[in-house]
Amino acid sequence: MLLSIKNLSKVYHPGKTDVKALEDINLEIDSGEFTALCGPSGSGKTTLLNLIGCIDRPDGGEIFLDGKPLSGKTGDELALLRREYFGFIFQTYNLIPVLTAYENVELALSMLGKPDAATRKRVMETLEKVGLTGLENRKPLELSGGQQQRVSIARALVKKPRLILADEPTANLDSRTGEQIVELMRQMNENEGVTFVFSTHDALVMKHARRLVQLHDGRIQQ
Amino acid sequence: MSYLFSFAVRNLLRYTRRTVLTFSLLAISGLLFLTMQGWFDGLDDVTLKNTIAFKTGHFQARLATYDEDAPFSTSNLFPVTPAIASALDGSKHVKGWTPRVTFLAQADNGHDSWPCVVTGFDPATDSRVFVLTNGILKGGKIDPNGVLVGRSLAKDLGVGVGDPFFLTVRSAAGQIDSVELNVSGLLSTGDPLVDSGGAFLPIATAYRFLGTNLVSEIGILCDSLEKSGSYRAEIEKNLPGMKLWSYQELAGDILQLSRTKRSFLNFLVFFLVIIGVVGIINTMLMSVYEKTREIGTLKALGFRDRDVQRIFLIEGFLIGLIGGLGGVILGCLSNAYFVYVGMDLRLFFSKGTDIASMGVPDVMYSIWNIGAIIGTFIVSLVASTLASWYPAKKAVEMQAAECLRTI
Repeated sequence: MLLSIKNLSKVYHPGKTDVKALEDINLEIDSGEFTALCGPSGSGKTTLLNLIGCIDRPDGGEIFLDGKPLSGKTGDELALLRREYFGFIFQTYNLIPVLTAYENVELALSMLGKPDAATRKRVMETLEKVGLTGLENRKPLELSGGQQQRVSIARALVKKPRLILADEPTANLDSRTGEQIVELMRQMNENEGVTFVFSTHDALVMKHARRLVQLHDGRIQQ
Repeated sequence: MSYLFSFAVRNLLRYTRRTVLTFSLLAISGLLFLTMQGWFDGLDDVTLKNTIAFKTGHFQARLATYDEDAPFSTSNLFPVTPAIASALDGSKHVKGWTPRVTFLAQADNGHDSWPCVVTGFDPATDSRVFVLTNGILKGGKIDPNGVLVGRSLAKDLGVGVGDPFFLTVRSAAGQIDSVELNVSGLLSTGDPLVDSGGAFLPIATAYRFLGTNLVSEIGILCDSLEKSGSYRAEIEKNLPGMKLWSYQELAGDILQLSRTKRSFLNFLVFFLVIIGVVGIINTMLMSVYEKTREIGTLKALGFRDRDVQRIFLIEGFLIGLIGGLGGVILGCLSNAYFVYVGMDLRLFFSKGTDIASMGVPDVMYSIWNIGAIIGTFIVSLVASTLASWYPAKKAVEMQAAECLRTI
């Protein structure tokens, strides 16, 4: 099992009252899955993705990655896990505006070693896979929303992660572009064997998922 | 590390105007500091050189029992014995020596009188140690009844070259005599004590007034100013009953004034550094808050906290590097102007003001201070890097999830 979640809970403290973002979450995800976390806004989709991706820490329960618990790991160890295990795709793309499409994708590899000819080949191949050949020298602001999201997907994909976590990847796109992006993710899942877990509340996107996990008020509703 | 460096460079180039303003802040600080440092150094240099050239030489040999509290007391006088002359002539480090006798007198022009310090000098040997003739503004012919008068004193007394000049002197025996001399020249030495209250006359004339042929000091010039300190013990050993006073000791007041000026400069430097540091902290904090989502993204991509911290520290370092270099270049250009062209201080005073009486030359020249140039660069670099430490820490403290939630 790639990912196993046991009794996971997360509470936010925005003011004087506590807000239970996630409560008693139990979930298992295997390699190669193409899973959608569905639910309305505030249901806990982003929180769950953040906890799975080690960019937030749970208040209770445990997450096992390849059978190993994440609790007790230091900040540096979690950073290494994010570097090697996960790829992230964000709703607002989160590309670095001063870097070109090529550099944004290369950034994901830069921490793994000094860029060389093999790195360049890998980045260019990934950009080709997401349909961005010829646009590699453009900066994010010179690209459309769909193209930016493709760069974001290439950035997540280029380091060949075990799991790609996508938070509402189509929310900022028109329905046609959104569908193209989900289709692209699906192709990557099928052709490259990359596991995808993505959140959405868009019915059109949900239909592409092979597995749906419904969240409501921080709980899973099967 | 190279990608962190490259990333930091891109960040600096992102907000060009802000980055240039921050660079400018450091560069202007460097410019101001180096220019003022050059002025102060130049002023100190000319003042000290004048003091050595006109008053102190490298050393003054005085009686070991010399009373500093009563510098014009007759108990401080001594004869230049053949043994002293032989010891000084025989010293391999002594380039020249000359006797002088200094005493207090009252100068008057028949209407007003002013106290003045009179120095009797030996016209035959004085130029071996001092450059009195370089300070002669007008006239300059030395004759037994001639006196060289500080230009401000002459102005106060309303006398010029060739005019009669009266001195009232108490002789060694305590008898008060008034003698008439002629102003043979006006002196402008840059030393306010000489220019506004000093007179020089041949030592034979002084002996005649004082009724004694004793001297108060022997001015000594060594073969090297820098090494003179190391010669002291050797020269002093051959002058029993005498003590050598170095030019630093003799110019104590001037050096103290210089230290006071340095304190002011140090305060200015501190102030400039604070302004620079606050400016950099402000720039970097703005940068951190503007890039909150990016920081979150970097952390999500697997950047460790120290990687993110390094990006901001490198940005601070680069600001210091370029700002410091800019400051050094601008400061050197400004300093070069004042080194080679100088600053005419008369422009800052109303016409006819005697600025020599204030102890400053008419045209002030800066000098090069390599230590200050290197120091400016290093302080810029260190202060800028340290200033970015706090913003970098703020960036590290941000949780990735919170950063990503930021709109």
